[in-house]
Amino acid sequence: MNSRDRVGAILSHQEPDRVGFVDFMWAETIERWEREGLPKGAFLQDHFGMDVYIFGTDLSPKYEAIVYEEGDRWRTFRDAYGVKMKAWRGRSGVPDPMEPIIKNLDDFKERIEPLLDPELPIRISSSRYPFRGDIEVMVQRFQERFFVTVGVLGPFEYARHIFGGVDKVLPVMVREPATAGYIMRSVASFASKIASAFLKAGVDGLWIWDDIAYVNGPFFSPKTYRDLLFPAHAAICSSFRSKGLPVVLHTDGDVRKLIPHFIEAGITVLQPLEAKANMDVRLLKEQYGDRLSFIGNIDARVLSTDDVEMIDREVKSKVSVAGVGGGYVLGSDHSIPPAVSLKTYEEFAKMVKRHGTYPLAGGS
Amino acid sequence: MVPTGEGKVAEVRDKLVALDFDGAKKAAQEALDAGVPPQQIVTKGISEGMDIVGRKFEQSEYFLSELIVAGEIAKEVMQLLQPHLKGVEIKKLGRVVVGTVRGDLHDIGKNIVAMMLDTAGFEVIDLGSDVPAESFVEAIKKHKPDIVGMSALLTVTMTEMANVIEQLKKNGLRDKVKVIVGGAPLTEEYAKSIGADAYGRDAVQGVDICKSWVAR
Repeated sequence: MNSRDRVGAILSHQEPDRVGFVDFMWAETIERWEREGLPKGAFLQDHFGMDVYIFGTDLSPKYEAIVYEEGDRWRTFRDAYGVKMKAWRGRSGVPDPMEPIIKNLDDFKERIEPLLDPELPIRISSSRYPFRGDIEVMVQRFQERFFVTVGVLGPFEYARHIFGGVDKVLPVMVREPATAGYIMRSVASFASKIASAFLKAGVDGLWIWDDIAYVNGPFFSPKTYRDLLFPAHAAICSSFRSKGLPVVLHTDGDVRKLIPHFIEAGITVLQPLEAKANMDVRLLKEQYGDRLSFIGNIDARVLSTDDVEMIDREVKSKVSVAGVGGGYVLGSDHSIPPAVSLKTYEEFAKMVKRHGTYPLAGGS
Repeated sequence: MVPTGEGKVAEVRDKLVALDFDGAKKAAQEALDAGVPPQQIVTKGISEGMDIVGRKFEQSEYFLSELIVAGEIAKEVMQLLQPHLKGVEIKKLGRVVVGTVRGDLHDIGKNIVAMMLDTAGFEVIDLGSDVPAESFVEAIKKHKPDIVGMSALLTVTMTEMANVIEQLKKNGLRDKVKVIVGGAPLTEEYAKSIGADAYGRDAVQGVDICKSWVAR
């Protein structure tokens, strides 16, 4: 069975030949693995037998990148969103915003909104596939090997970035909800148009990157989600949902309070299900398994122990429950950190078939 | 009938809890105009208000967004009171040095903790982010704090906390301070394993732990 049919069945709550597999790694992890024997430049989805491919998109206003300063340990630069950033040299990790591009609604209307033109060919995609025809060809080529989705940056992440950080955008959401709502709807409209362009090119699903929570819960209340972000998420989901196609929401953190709202907005899959943030796919399956599919939840801290037996128990205990009736794609609960050796990860990748082949063995 | 001054101080507290920016500042000004000592507005208005906000956060009535806004209001009211506090001694609960460890630029959690410690009545020395172990050592020698708080957001940087504690031991400082750690990748077990005195699950719990230490 090919990956496209496999994941298509899984996300339709059917049991194919086995559970699906997709994962993500830090750049430093790949560097370590290359030192440990991973062929340099290896296409990881092929190398580890993953089932899902995500087309990246560029929703930025495409400010020209400017490097301001390069020290021994870090550098400061302006990114494509116009935000001044500080990033470590020679190691990965999320860069830190130093100066935002916007502080209020007028700034957004002047410096971001006019540049979000979905009609420009180059806006449909990253610069790798600037024209519609290229995208259609590449979607079909990747579909020979993968279940193909398009990934868009979510409205909260977008607003968070252009405001210069979560501590800047959250007060706006509380004190100036009309401003926050306008910006999120505007970004959602743009993201929706980009996603629709890929829908027309024939992708199999949509992936929204929108980190709205941390270990202790959502950054904001369910009411705030409902008022400001729900309409934006629903708008982004709508074109895919009208075709019955799946929509994945990626968010770290404990989002249990928001799941009913996600479902109503049109989200059909949750990823990565951060284990240390109280997300447990076994419990979520019981509560929402008829309405949601799940990707991830294999604890990266367990993977980091390099204890293959412990990892095996972790995988078995989760797959045996989450995989029942389809609806589960195996993966870590976060990006794979450099503490995980290549050998360990290769063993982990084998566990997909060992524990995920249908019919599933009993639970642990 | 509650005297006007006390009523206004209670209003500062209540407006802060209600996240009413303008209302809190107006009530603080009116309290000053009514002759309320500014230090009373700090302790009974701001500190008590932030305490209530902390309880609402623990009960999931308030979230990180409301915590940050309350902190902003507290900061603005403090700025209003600052000129009136010159020469007035407000007894501090204790002194805390905080910082995000070397290799880590994330400071939101640390900033929220620093803000809540400040409004709770602690003197806070904030070393910023990407703080090497030597800087923690120097700060402890210089400021002689009661407590040191360290934050990290990455699994690759939280290991630096163990290094800081090791340096405190080498410099004969470990038994002179209490050490509290926090951040997304941390756990209670990890904090124990590196020899920290406590792990703060969130800013509110962290402040409660610090208060319990200085109360002894």
